[in-house]
Amino acid sequence: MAELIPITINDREHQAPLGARLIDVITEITGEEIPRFCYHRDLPVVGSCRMCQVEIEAPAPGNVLRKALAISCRTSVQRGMQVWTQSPAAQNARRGVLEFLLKDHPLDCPICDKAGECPLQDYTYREGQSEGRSHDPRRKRRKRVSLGDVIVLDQERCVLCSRCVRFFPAVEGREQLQVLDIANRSVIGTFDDRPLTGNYQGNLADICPVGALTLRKFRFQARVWNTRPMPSTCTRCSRGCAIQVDAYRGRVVRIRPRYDAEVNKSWMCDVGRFTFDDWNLPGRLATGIQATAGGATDLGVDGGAQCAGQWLAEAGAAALLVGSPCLTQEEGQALLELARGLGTDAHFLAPEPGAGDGVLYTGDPAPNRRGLTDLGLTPMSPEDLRRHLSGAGASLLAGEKILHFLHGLDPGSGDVAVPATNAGPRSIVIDTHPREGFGLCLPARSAVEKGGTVRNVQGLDRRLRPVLPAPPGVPDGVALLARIATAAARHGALVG
Amino acid sequence: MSAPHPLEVPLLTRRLHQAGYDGSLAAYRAGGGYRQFERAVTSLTPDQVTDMIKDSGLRGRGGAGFATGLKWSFMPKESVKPHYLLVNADESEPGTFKDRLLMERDPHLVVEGAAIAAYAIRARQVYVYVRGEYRHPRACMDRAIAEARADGLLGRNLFGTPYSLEMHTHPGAGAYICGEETALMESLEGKRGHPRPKPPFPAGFGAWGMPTTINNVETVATAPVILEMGALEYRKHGTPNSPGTFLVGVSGHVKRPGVYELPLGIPARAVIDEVCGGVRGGRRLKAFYVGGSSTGLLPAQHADVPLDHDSVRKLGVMLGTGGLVVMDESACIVRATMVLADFYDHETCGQCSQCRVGMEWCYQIIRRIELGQGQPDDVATLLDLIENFAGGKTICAFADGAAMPYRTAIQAFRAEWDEHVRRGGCPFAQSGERALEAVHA
Repeated sequence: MAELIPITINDREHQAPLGARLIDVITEITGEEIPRFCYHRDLPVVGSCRMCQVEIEAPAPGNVLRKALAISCRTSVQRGMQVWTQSPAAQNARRGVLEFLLKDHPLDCPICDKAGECPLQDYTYREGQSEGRSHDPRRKRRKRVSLGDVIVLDQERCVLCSRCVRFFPAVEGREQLQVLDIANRSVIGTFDDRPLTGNYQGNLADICPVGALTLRKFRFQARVWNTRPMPSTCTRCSRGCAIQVDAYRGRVVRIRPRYDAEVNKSWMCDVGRFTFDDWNLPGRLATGIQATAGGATDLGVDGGAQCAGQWLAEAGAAALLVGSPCLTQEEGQALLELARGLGTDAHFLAPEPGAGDGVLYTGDPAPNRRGLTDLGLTPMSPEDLRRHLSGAGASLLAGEKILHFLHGLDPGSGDVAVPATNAGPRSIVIDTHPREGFGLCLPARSAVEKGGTVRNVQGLDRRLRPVLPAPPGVPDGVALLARIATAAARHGALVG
Repeated sequence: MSAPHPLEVPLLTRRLHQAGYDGSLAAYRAGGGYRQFERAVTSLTPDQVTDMIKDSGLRGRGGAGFATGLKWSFMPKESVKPHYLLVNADESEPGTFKDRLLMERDPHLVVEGAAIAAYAIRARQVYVYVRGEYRHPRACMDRAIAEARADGLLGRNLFGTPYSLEMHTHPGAGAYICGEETALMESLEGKRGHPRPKPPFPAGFGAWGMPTTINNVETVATAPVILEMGALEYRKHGTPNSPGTFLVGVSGHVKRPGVYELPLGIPARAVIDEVCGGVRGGRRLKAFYVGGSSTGLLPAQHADVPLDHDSVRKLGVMLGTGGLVVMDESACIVRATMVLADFYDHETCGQCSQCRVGMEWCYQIIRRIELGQGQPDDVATLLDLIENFAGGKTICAFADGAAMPYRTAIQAFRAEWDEHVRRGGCPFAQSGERALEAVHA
């Protein structure tokens, strides 16, 4: 912990850690965000955009006080320092930078995806002058340059902050984008227009402070001021990255990383970012449906829970209880209590982990493997589950995606058909959609509709939050399992 | 080369006036060459050499005029890390061509000077970073280095001491910015030539992160001269605060352009009228760039200014690299500034926002004024833009270097700028388009 020393910001005295980065200190202490383009907390500092200039006075060698403009991203807190963020000199310097950056900018905000969350736009409203002074034509550059499957580049909007250039070496350990050519002919690009590769390309659209790097998947999908960003945790692998889910008209349209110092800092992988079509699938199950000879009977959720409780109680210790690896800790606990009442074990389906990418993506599709294991649920492989399923007197497969894992399907795919499962007459599944081959289907909430805790691969507990409303009538997983347990008790099972 | 002009003081260039001097190792050694390097290595400590340079008051000849001995003394005295000397031969400042003369005509003077400087800063490796277009000067340097190595003047255990020294040239690729010392280091390391923010300074964290000193060609070439004649004798030339001689490369509208070695403090008028035979064609002096374009423009009424660091500073310009560009009354100041603006627009590294866009914007405005499309607010906008990129607002001094000629040209010749805008064109004979064609031909 660095020593706290007095520092004066805008004529008020504060305490700040000696040697800390001024641009962050100002925000932490006063809440004022100093405009910045090239500075990013998780990238190497280059100090080239010159946007974050403030006026400082600090003792120089010889104990003279020198008042000067300084970029706050490369200035550290030192003894006797005074800082003015809104002095005329500081304001003029920043306005000057903005005017230069806007000189060639196309000002196509009405058709730009970044509009509404664009630092260039925000700073211009805040600090810039409203009239341009240039009599000369804006420089033409390349637009809609494809940088591969993920990113589209607009060189005219670019302010050459080089965040994207620094991103790849800093995060992936290899270079992909470069500044090409020099002077005002400089552009961002890849050598020979080669497409970008790797699992982290989507981050470019987050860190780009203008609309130069946009996501192919989000382009023209929604205006960001109409989306509703909600914090949650990614469940596409066992890393548990902090995310922000943007919903628009009840659908997930974008996922972005949220800062988590211990897990993912400012980043997330493209697997987590772009896997959300499954959450927007229509045809949701919102009731309990029992398969009957030659048809199906709608039992309602309560009726379904009663039926499930009865079946499980009658099977007793012979009942097979398996949770999805996507269960939250709370759901896992509820499953465990149900199993205890029946005098049997609770399992969770544990698919074989794949290969990670060495950065964030672990390759393990079971987001809560560690948490469910810690709770005391027994891992069961898909092969073992298939073997036990048809022979069980009664079985309960609980939680979204469990059949994807059972059948080896991509759990994130939005359009894959789940085949019929040969699960026996007294088999129960709790899932988001009706499934074939089960005696009883009960509804489940998806990972963006439920709250709860997941424990990531590092053993850190992170929260899921209900980002979208569940379809009417679909109960929370914990509540549903509790209702089943109550029904089972009524039919003779012990209550946990 | 003919006999020196009476006002010249040939210290560095004295061999060049000898009949038949060919710059070879034999010729250089015949005149006492490499004795000072041998003396330094065999009988002086690095600090003693540095002190001699400090005592001489030598100031860097690469443009900033920083005290050379002081710069050397910033290097760590004891260090386990390798030290590097980089000789800046990226001579690209418009109007400057003096280092070329040394490298082509007396390369061993540069090699010996670099060797002495390297010894003083405890470096065992010298890189001479030569401007990409300087193929011939680089070849001359390569030949001299090879000769010196073959003769045991470079290599291991020199003169029977533990001191070893290697020297190599490295070609630039034609970017002006790579003459900026931190960009030069980046370029030498094989990266884009983008200036680094300072601090850290090169003496602590230089090339490859090692302690590094960067000196101009002429600066290191002065070291053998100072060691030979002694600091006191050297100080008899020049002024107290700008001692010694410097190479002045005179170009433009004079009768005898060329490189002359002159004592610091000589009035610009003496250089133009006496050394160079005056303005050509019987015309009158109009203005001159003091020491390369980035140092600024002075109008004829300031021609009596003594060419030393302090005197020109008082007029708001800098001594720079000794590139004196002379313009007579037929020259259009707007056009001259346009040609420079074209250069700066082409050469900014593009790293800092203000410099990247500002250079192009200034060029667009100045070009329009010269070509007859000036707007009434153009000159005012230009002055304002200059304030927005100059004054230490950027990583390196490039933007300030461009601001100097723009600002001084407008200040001294405002009426001429306004006249261009009012008339809707250039009042001088040659058209602006032709001037640009000539530049790009």
